[in-house]
Amino acid sequence: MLTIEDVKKQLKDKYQNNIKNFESPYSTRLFVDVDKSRIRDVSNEIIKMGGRYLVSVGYDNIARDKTLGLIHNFSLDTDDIFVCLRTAAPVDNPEFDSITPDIPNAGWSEREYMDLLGMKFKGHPKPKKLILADDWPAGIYPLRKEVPWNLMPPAAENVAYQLDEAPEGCTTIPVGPFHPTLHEPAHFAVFVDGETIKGCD
Amino acid sequence: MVHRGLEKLCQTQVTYNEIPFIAERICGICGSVHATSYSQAVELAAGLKISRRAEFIRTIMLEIERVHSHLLWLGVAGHLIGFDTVFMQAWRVRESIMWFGEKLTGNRKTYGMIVAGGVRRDITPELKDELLGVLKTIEKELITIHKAIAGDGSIHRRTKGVGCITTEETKLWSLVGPVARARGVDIDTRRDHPYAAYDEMQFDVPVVDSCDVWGTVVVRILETFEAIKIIRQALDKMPGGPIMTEFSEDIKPLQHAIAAVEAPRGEVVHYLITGEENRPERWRVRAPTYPNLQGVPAMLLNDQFADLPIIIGSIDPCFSCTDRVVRVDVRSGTMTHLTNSDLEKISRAKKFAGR
Repeated sequence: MLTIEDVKKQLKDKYQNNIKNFESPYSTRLFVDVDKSRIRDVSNEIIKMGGRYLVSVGYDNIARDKTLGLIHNFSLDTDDIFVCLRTAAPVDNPEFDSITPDIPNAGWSEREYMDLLGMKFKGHPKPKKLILADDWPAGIYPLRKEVPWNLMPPAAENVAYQLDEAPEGCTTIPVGPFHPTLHEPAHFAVFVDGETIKGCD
Repeated sequence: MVHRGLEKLCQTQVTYNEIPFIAERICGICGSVHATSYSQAVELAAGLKISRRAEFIRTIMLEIERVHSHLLWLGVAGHLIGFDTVFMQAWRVRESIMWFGEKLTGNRKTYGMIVAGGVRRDITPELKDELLGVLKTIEKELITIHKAIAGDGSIHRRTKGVGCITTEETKLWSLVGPVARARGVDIDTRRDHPYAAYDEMQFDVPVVDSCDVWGTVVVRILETFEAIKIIRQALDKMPGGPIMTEFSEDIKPLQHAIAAVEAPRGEVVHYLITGEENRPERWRVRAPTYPNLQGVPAMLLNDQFADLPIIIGSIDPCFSCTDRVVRVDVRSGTMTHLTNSDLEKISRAKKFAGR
């Protein structure tokens, strides 16, 4: 059973100056400010402690210090602790190391902030659009504070999502969208060989 | 993916206490979990401790939601594999709790009960008695359904060994909720990070290691019984007191808070950074389908196409309808359109089940 103090000590011993600050307003919540260069290592360290990846949060902090903030959140389930690793990158070069190669579930969160905040993730295995419409103009990042909430860029034609390459000898079957009024509509392109599914996008 | 821009809207247009109602509309089935999770994040950021009675009522609302959501899923799952008797019976049983929800809150779903600081309506002694009666009926009828499902060969053949992924893969992909618990991952936010009144509740977390769709059926049915157990305990132990706690001062800007709630589909996470104009600077919602849907490709691999609806359905992604399917034969370049009902026919008429 780890306590917040144990987690702090382990991180501090190993990463020293790359950990800038700890904050724990409650005995179950730990916020850690990590230097951007070590964010992938520290994330893996938390996983090694038994952490489970939850979600990443990206936010616009341009007005305060010209940075984009990124927070990777983890849960230590057996210890009742949430660990939030906070980092930031300057807005003119918002590049982070992707944690997706180690933690595949971070893939969507990172793609979301590529779309919404214009962040870049080095080493992301599939840096495709996730959220924005296929015809959304490049260079407008709707979650930045400068973009008004009701902005409606004009529609464009001749743009379409590029599917992943189907495996050799497979047939592609697009499925969807599921009902668009519900909160989890999704398109699948299913690659089948006969009736057996070989992959999907 | 459709993105509705809720986070942007709430960061620019509305105030703290309007957001619970928007949060509730994130999901049409399990709205209270989002309102609760958001409210808890605001309360943590503000350092507000709400009344114990409000926490008990929140617990009861969350569990009522779990009962109706799991029964809904059971019906949908039955429908997807062509077993409409399960669908009709599960939804018939579910109806009584929907009526109770309407009596208690004015709505069958999307209760509008939970706000930052507490809840909006109290549970009176009369309502308490009625709820106990409703639960008794549901429990009795669900036992019958459970037995029927457990003894039915065709359900076994359609769900066992379908949508398999290993426990290690499940952990690697950080899957949550019944999807993870059906694959031997013992996590449940209610027990691991207790919130509301769950610290006082005695309940089991059903975990099975069959690693397939059958496991999710078992986990969800057992969880429904646990939910009934929790509601009974909460009604029994509920203390008196106010249901709302006022915020005594303004919420300080730039406070970070994270709160998680176990929804019927898995764990919901809300991250909040407080802002200056009586609204959040940043509010991030993670619904359970967000991680779970990312694990679906692994579950689909090397399964039959006719099993696709039930595998996707097994994560309970509010799978309401498959509008259309286009079949493209890459070798000849021909395209065939399949409608929703065609796809359903393929799935429901699947022969040689059990391979």
